Amino acid sequence: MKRKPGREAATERALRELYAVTPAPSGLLSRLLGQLGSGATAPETESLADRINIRATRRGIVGLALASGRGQRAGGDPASPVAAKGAREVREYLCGRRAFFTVPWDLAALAPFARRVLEVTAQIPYGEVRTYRWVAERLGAPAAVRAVGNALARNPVPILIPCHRVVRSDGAVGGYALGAGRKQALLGLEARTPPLVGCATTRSVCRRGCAYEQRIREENRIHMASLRAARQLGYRPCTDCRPR
Amino acid sequence: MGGGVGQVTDEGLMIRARRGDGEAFALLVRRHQDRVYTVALRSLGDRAAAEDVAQQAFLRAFERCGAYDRRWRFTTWLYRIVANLCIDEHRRRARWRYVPMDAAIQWGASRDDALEAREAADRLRRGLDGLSPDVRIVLALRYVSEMSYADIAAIRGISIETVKSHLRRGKARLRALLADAGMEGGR
Repeated sequence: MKRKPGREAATERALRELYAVTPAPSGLLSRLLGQLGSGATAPETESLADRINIRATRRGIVGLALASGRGQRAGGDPASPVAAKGAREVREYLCGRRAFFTVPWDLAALAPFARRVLEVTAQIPYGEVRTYRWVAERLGAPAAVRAVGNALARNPVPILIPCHRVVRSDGAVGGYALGAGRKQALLGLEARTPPLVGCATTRSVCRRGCAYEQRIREENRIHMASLRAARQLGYRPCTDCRPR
Repeated sequence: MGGGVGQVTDEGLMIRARRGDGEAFALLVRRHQDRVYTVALRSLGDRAAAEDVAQQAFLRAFERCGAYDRRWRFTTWLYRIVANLCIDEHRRRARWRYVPMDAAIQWGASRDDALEAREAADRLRRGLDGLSPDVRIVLALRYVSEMSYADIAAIRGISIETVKSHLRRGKARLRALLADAGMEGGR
């Protein structure tokens, strides 16, 4: 019945190793203090998550708007599985846990020009900005800067199609469907959040929000700003989320 | 833990926090956040949930600090909140099915000793994840926060004998895992 002391010691040692203290995420304290101080809440983008309404057809998201009102469009179903998936991804994005979206959008109701403007805008990478002129030039219509601005102002799916990443060429932030202050907040969120996460054990690098990324253990996570940096460290891009 | 030479005790800080001293509360969080987070992480197995639990635990401790009695040890009070939140989370999850992590972990190619050690640790942790929530939280309190049997019993509202039997069950599982992995030098 008596156990060998060697085995006992090996088990104890393994337990101490497996249960070694892991540092808490760096934002924990500041978030707590933010929630306590003067009744204020989490960063603006996080609180936004509770106020967003999403509608979808079977093909994809057709509308994303603030629950309070303006910009609400008819059509689509707020209770569909696609809308639920969209809502989950948007919430993760607003909390800094996602840098890309997998949920499709459905722009079938839009005029061809507006649709092309949004499709070009959708290619602007997380954390980067472009000018209205850049979008116009990409469309092969460099004079259509104002028309681009108008099409973006009527973007039915802000956040999903990142019209907040399009700014004025004089450096001003410009207008935004959800309010100029929120545009600044979203750009701030993206500037603070590295879009890629590497896993030290598998040596692969994922986009933030990928199903694999979400399962990387805290102690193995390495935040990375670019695929180039990841490659230099010998990391391979995930074949699922395909970071570029 | 807490209170080295010339340091304010946790209990002293808690009294100050009760009077609305934000600095005192920040200091308490700084002292305990890593351990609280790790206890939640080992109990729940995923970092997002662990972060939520850690955050909620401190918030709840602060909100309820009016009910704090200075005869209690602060850590006993805090970890009781943490343990209850972890058990609640397990209960919520009971309806969900779990996707094994193997898919995420197995497609690694390059290997060296450190890497293999880490993979082995991951396999062991996953093996321990199969234990019941009650056993997992007791193991975490014992080995992350180095709580005494009596403190763990008080935190969980169970007898010291039950604490010991939970720990025995956890160790037996780990021994079996180690033996399976051939990491124990024969049996």
